Amino acid sequence: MPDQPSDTYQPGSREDFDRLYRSAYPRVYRTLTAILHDPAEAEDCAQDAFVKAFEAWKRWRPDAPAEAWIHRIAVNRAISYRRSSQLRTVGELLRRLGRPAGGDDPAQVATKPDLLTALRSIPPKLAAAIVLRHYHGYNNREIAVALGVSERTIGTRLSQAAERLRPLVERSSSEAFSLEVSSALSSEQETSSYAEH
Amino acid sequence: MPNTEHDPLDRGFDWRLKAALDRVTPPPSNPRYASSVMGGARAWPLVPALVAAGATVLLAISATAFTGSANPLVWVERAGSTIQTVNHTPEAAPSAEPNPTTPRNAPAAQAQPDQGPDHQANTAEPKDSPEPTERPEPTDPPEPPSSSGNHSGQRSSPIPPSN
Repeated sequence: MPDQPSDTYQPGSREDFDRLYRSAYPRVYRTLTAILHDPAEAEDCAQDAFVKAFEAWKRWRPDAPAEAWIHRIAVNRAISYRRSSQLRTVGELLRRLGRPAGGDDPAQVATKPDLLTALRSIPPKLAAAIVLRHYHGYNNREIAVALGVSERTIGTRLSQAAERLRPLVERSSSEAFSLEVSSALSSEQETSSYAEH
Repeated sequence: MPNTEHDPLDRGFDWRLKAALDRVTPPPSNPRYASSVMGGARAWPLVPALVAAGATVLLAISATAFTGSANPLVWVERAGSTIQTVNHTPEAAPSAEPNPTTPRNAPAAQAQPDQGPDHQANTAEPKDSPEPTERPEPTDPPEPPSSSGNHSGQRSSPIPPSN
């Protein structure tokens, strides 16, 4: 697990929590970016997660990796955030009932990384498992510890996520190729990152 | 049961996910936890003020209910009179208490604790005392029967008018 040894953090130490924040915040933020639809939402949830963790820092037990513990708080926060966001979306839809439904801004859709769009379209629990496994490099046991569920549940979630993502990823691959061609002249950096694939 | 360690997605998925998320950089922002106090201790300084405010509200409600007035001056007057009453009560109390210097009251005072509640009930309601007879007070004399059956409410004179 890409985390410092747990014994390097002292529960309740402000300096250690500052160090944990500096090392874990970017990774937690990226995890939440794959779960939530908006970078501002990801930042808000990540900051909330660190506030909650800081309030409970004295009670943190070093037997669990600190970053996994932060991830657990952050993913739970993101799940509840997405749930409430969906409720707000339903309310907004009901308010706008009768009006023509406006889709996403085409320019925004064109600049969105397609894989992240696909990840955001699946349930957040599944997306979190995928990101922890395929981006952070956790194994199933570590994901289970981080999310507070059993290894079997993690295996099920990973399989379900793969089933849902596979058609989206295959479709987005072809679309990404066309997008890449169209934006090749405008963004040299993006072209180079896509070229890695 | 799914194979928990099997990668259902191919290796290219990992590379693409890594490339996509590595491009995401968190915006520079001050950590929000830095403005909070560890352990939720930020609420503790407010506890005495909250307790004092609650006690004041309870006192005001109790005083209003006791005096029936929302005016604090009334509360003060009522409290002063209550304190005076309490201070006067011990002065009158010794006459009821058993006084060892007065042998006439002593046996009666000593005998009271030994006697059961029946005796208290008897003392409360003495059997020998005559029951008060409730005699109806004489009211207006009964009206003489009216032969005419006048129910008009006018009182007829018992003496016939002399012509």
